[in-house]
Amino acid sequence: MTSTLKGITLKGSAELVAEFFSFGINSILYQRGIYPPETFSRVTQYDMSLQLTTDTKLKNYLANVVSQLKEWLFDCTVQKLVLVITCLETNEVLERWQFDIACDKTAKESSAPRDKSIKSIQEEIRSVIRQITASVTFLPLLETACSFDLLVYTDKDLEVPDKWEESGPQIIDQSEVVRLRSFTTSIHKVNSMVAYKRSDF
Amino acid sequence: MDIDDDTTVFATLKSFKNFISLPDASLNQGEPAPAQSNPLQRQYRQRIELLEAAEKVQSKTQQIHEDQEKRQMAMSHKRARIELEKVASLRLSVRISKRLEEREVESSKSLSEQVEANRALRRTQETLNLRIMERDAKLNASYQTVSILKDEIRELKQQIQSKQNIIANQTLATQGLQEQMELQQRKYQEVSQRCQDLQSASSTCSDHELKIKDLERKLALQEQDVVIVKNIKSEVAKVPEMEKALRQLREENIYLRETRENVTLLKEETEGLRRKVERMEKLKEEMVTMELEKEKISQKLQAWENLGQSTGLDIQKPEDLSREVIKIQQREIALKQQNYTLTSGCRSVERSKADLQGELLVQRSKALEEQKKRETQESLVRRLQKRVLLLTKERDGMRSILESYDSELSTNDYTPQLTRRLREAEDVLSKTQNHNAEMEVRGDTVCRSAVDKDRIEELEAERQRLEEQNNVLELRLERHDLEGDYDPVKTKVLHLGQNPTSMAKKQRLEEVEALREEVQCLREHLRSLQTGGAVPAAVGDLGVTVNLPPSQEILDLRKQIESAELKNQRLKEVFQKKIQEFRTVCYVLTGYQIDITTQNQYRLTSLYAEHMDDSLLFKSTGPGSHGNMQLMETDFSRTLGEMVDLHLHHQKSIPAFLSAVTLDLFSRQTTM
Repeated sequence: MTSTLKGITLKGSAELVAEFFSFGINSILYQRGIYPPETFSRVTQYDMSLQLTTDTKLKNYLANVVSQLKEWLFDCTVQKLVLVITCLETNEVLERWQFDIACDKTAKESSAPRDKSIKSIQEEIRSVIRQITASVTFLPLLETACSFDLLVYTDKDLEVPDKWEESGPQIIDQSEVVRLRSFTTSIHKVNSMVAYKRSDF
Repeated sequence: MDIDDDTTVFATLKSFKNFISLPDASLNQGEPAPAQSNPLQRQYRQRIELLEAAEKVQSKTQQIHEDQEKRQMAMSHKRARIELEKVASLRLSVRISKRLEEREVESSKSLSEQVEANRALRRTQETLNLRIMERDAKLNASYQTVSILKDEIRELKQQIQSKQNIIANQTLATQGLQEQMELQQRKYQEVSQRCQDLQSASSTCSDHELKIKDLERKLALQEQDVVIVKNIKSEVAKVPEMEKALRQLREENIYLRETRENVTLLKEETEGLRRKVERMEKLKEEMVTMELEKEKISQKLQAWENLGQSTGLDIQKPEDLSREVIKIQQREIALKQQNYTLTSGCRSVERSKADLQGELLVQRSKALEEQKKRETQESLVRRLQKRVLLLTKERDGMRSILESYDSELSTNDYTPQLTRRLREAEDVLSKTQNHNAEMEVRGDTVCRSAVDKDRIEELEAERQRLEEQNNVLELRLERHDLEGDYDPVKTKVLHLGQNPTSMAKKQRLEEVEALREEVQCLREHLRSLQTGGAVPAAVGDLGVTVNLPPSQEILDLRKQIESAELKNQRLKEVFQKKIQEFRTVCYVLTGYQIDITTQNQYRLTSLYAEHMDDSLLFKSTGPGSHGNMQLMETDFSRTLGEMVDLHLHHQKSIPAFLSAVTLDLFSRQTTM
């Protein structure tokens, strides 16, 4: 449990970040309409109501990715997490939600917990998620049927686990990038940004 | 007479009414007489009404008669009175001859009056006569009507009689039918009686049958019993042998029982012995183990006894040993305590070491910071030295300028400014000297050699350029980083194989494939339907069944088409037959075979033609109708020039020509 009164450990920070990713990805999927809204149910997290998917396949997929991500966060071998939204008809990448993760490697060596209150971390996370929700105003509509994929940028020398494989970065050509807020647990710092395909007028 | 007739008519009418009312009940039962009597009754009623009207008319005529009589009587009275008066006057005339003269006038007056009265009376009489005439006419009319009515009454009577006859016939018929009915009822009764007899007979038959079945069953049972009895007899024959066997078995049984008792006794003995043997064996084993244990214990005892000698301690009893053990344990406890204290001391030492290491790190970082500060300060010093050099050069320049000014100019106006400037420059110089001294006091005195100004400028420019490039590249790098670019040397991109996008793509492909196959199947099916063939078989292996049954309309239309074609064919055949027949008949009867060569051209070949090619060609002229024919020139027609002239040109008859030709040819054939 991350509710240690003493402070944030590496393990606790990894859990917090993984939890943020889980809820963040769900919010993005709900906001962008990748899955129909009736497959989502409301939950309360970070003192706000968020949408969580009830689709079992999707849940399993997300659970797999997030659990592996937690390990990598603990090992500080992950650099970025990217949510790529692809149009199924044209196989074009339409949107790219990128989360840069900067890990303080000194936390690996010392086991002393860092002094940062969970409340402040949650505040920061809340503002990030609010920004994600507000991004709907400037992001172009996804009119065609879309699907998403989660990419993880890791160190080159990392051992690739079972069922994971290498892939391309899936970059959008001619994209507009908008930087969003970031939050830090004093061990991990997460920067968020969204890149979308420039719509031709 | 009429009145009498009327009265008689009334009487008969009433009696007829009575008669009619009576048979209503009887006629309603059987025959369809009610249907006839109702109109009859209506007719009768109508006639009766008419008769009543006639009665009224008659009464009226009677009244008229009476009135007439009255008037006649009145007339007669009046006439009588007149006569009386006349007589009285006549009588009085004698008496009153005297009075005649007096009363001539009166009499004349009275005569005139009487004449007038007579005239009036005559008028009234005439009127009465007219009325009488009218009444007579009316009477005649009424008589006529009465006669008509009488005729009608006669007719009705006739009808009534006829109806009565019919009724009589029908009653006879009913009687006959009733008799028949009675006969049939009697027959029915007889038949019913027979039926009952038959039923009773059949019941008795069924009873007999039941009895027969029972008897048959009993017979079967008895046969079975017979068979059983035979078997039992055979079995019974075996009885004495069985008795012998039984006796033998009993003896054996007794013998075996005795032996059994012996056997049980022996078994018990054996069991007891076996148990004893087992016990003995167990005891043996125990004994062996005991001996082994005894040996071991004796060895241990010896060892224990030797302990004292082996350890060198004063041990002769176990108590000594325990004492020694206790001592050793106490020693051990003491040693453990020492150990704990040592380990705690070790840990504290390690902790202090870690703390010291931390402090060391801190100190090192501080030292680094100090170094950095020092380096910055050194760089500052260098910069300041450079500045000093520049300033000294400026001063030299200024001094040279001043000297030049001093050398050039000799006016006194500028001297205060110059002196002021000199003073300012000197102040600046002193300040810089002080600053320089301070700097020298602060830092180390490492003086770099003088560098060319130009080189510095070049380097500065290059540096700025490189800085701009660096900024640009950094921006680009950041942009790429935002977009998601990465350094392949340091990072790699991973994702799960089973991710939603790949699954969605797979699904799409599968859908597309399935749709393509469906489209192909449907196209094939459509092709087959268009060619009008049977319905193709379902494409089951894809799970797509294309089983569209041909609609009812299509089937009906096909059937219609087939029937129409059949009809067409039949008509063609019939037509062909008929035309063939007609042509042969024409050929046979007229002697010419008529062929249609082209439109409106007919070729006639004669039955008696000498050569096969001899033929006449006719062409029909005139629009539409084929009535007007013209002969065309052929080889054969040239030979018949005379006939053509005669029959066609003069007589203008084609049949004559043709018949002439036929006769000619026939004559030639027969003669030749």
